[in-house]
Amino acid sequence: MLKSHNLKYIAFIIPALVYVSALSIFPAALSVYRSFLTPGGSYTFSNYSALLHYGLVKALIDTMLVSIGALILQLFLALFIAMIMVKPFRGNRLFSSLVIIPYGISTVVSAFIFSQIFSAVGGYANSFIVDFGFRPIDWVATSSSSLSVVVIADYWKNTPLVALILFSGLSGLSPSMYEAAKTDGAGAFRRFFSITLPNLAPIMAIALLIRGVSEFNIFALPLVIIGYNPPLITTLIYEFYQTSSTTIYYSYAASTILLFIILGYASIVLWKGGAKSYER
Amino acid sequence: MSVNSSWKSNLPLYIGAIILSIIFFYPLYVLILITFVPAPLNNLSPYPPQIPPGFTFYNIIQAYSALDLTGPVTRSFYVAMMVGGLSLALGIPAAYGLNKIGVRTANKFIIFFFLINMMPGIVVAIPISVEFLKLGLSNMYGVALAQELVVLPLSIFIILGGFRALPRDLENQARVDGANLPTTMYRILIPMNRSAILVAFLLSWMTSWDEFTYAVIISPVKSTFPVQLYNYVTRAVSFEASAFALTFTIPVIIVAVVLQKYLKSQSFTGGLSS
Amino acid sequence: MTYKLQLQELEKKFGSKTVLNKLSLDVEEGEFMVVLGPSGMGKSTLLRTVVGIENLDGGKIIVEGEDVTRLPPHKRNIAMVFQNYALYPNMNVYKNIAFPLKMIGESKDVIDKKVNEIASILKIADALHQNVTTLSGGQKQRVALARALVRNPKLFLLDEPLSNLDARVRYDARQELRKLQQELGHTFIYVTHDQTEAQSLADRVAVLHNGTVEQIGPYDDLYEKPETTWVGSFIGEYPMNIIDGSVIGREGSQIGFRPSWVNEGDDGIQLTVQLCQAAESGFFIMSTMDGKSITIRVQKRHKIGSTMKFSLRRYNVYTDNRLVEEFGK
Ligand SMILES: Nc1ncnc2c1ncn2[C@@H]1O[C@H](COP(=O)(O)OP(=O)(O)OP(=O)(O)O)[C@@H](O)[C@H]1O
Ligand SMILES: [Mg+2]
Repeated sequence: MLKSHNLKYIAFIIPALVYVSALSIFPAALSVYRSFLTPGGSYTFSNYSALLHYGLVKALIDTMLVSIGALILQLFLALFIAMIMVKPFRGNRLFSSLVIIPYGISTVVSAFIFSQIFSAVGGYANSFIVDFGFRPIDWVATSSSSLSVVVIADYWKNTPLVALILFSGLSGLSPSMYEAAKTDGAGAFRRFFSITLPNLAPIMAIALLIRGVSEFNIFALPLVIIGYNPPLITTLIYEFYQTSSTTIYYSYAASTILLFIILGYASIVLWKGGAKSYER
Repeated sequence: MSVNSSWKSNLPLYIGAIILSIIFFYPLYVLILITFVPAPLNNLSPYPPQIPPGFTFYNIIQAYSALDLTGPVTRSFYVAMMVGGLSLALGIPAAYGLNKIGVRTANKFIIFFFLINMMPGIVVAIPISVEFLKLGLSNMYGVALAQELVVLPLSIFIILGGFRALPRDLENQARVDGANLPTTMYRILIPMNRSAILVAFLLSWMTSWDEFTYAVIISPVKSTFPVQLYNYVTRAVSFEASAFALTFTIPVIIVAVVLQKYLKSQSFTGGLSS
Repeated sequence: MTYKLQLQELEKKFGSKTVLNKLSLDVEEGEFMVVLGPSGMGKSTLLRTVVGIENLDGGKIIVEGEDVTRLPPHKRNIAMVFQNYALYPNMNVYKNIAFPLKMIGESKDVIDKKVNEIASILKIADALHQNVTTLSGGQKQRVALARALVRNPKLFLLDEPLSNLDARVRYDARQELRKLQQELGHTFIYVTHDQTEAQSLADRVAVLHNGTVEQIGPYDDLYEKPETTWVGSFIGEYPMNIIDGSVIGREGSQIGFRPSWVNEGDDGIQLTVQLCQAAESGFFIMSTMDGKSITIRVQKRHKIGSTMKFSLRRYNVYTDNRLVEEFGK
């Protein structure tokens, strides 16, 4: 319900609205429009058909695999961290600081570090492996090992955020629920599966939404660590953008596809319950 | 469970905490190793040791003398300042307006801002880059304008949370005392809400300092620190790059630890989750 | 005669809820007007519309003959003390009081002089450089008052300024406030739900009910001669007794009388004592008649459960809840 005197206050929001329209909605629309143009300016679908030649489908599948792998790994680690963070114990502050630090570290820096850990030849990970008497692994030899490296590198920068979200969810759970479960004789595992997990589910969904979208847009990490072998959807777009003034139109087409995947994903998640928790 | 409960009952907790600490500290440890261990013993050897076999400042000295340092630092600094400033210039009025129009309507706008925030950076960055080139806009302004997209929703949300916590009548009192709206903002509302505003500024600043996607697309050369670092890494000057990376990481680590209390608080994660 | 403030048919709705319903009120120069009403009746809303921080849905506000309905608050030159004082926590006492003067661009010297003057009148000169969060409730109230008084506005609005104080401090503050208003000759509109305050402060009391002024006049008039049954039962330490009773020539009317308007006797109306409370002025007997509770004041103690009789020395007659006649005055 917008009363007329509210209009006065909407005026304060207008600069921010204009700003996001000009710098986000307008460029995105431009991408969509130009994806149907040739460099000469006539309409075409050839940008999309060209994408198929350049491995769009594989890039999408790989992106999906990385996203799912990263989400699982991060959720798992973050749950452990959050459960430790809510416990009062000596060293809690130190522990919290230690696990939050990577949140502040530049993606490029963390990409650089992990490229040193998982270098093609040698590297710190291989030092371990060789120390234990195994044969060293060429991490970037196959596309699946390359993708695994990206997934592993991603935990460092992004788990802290997920842990913080889950932490806020856990601190909201009332201790009395646990007391009741204890008196009912529920063991630690039971308590985890019948109290913690179900109560944490809504906030986990939110974490999944936020992280899921960013995972799909993951860019700096694969670019620095594995370059374009194999390309993910974002690095594919970037490669087209860099290559020539013709291929830039392919990047518009790939951008459009990425855009609609994200929009679809976000609206599904929002529809399925997210909207309700927003409205409250 | 009290802080003083015995080590024994907390043993699984400590084991878990220690393992996770190792997992999270190890990459930083590697960065320190590469920076302070003489390169021939270290990342230039095929299987670098986990325990430092030597110690040197040579890498840092080399990095600082051989690589362009001041350029990326100043550019990163200015861009981060611009992004922080933009967050306040756009975020404070927006949060003020949202606080006035009622929670339900405000939430709809907030959802809109967060939805826009999901727009893939690379999708937006390429047309911006192309258009900015046409407009002849300076690259650094372009980078700052684009990076602001990443932080604006959260900034608005944080500042809005601050405004919501203020007693409504303070603003009314100022109006009654004869202050017009800009004066009320400047003398009462902003000073009263300064901690939320400061947090929004710092988070924006930090995000810009780290941001790579927009920076590399809009300004691939003579750019901010992360882009510069990327260029060094691709040119395989890794031990200097690591010295470089470490020195630029330290201020951000400090900010992150300073903000730890806030990051753990409901208002931050609330901002992400609602 | 010209009025200091004229409110003409003010209307205010929140959603579908009408808070002010064609409310009209005139306030004279130098008058201490108390607006009295139960909690949630729109007293604060009334002041907020007068001062301009809440928009009206209809009606006119005229200050010193000038229509200010469309003016923003900072151009109305009306001072208001909010229910919770709304001191600026980021400023010390001195800066709080100086703020309105700064806003009209007074020079430093003038500000300094006026702030010190008002601070000594209100006995807060010692606290001028204290942080406002460290003040006691009474001090906060004085600072809020000082901030309102310092700039000589056309009108003062006070929203339950004493309600946050404890009883003793409130009593003293009330006396001082009245004295101050009389000495300075300002026009006050003072909102409260506390009848004792209305009684001891007001030149006139406006009783708010259902979004309008139901009755206006000196407190004693409201007590003696409530124009509606609602005012009768709202005003007074004990509500006016309202019983059904046909008076000759007026069928279906009601009779209202104060507890003290009765004589105990051997004949008259009979009741059973349910409660007997001792007070300075006698004993208050509580009972029910036809399902309505009534209270009377007598000079003798009665046992609970015993019966007694009383007759009316004085009473008012109401038809359709409006006063039509007074008897025995
Ligand atoms: N901004 C608002 N939005 C919706 N309803 C409101 C608003 N302000 C006040 N109301 C409603 O208007 C009615 C009158 O409120 P108001 O604060 O004026 O009462 P009051 O007489 O001052 O009460 P009190 O003695 O408790 O201070 C109340 O029912 C209140 O809920
Ligand atoms: Mg009120």
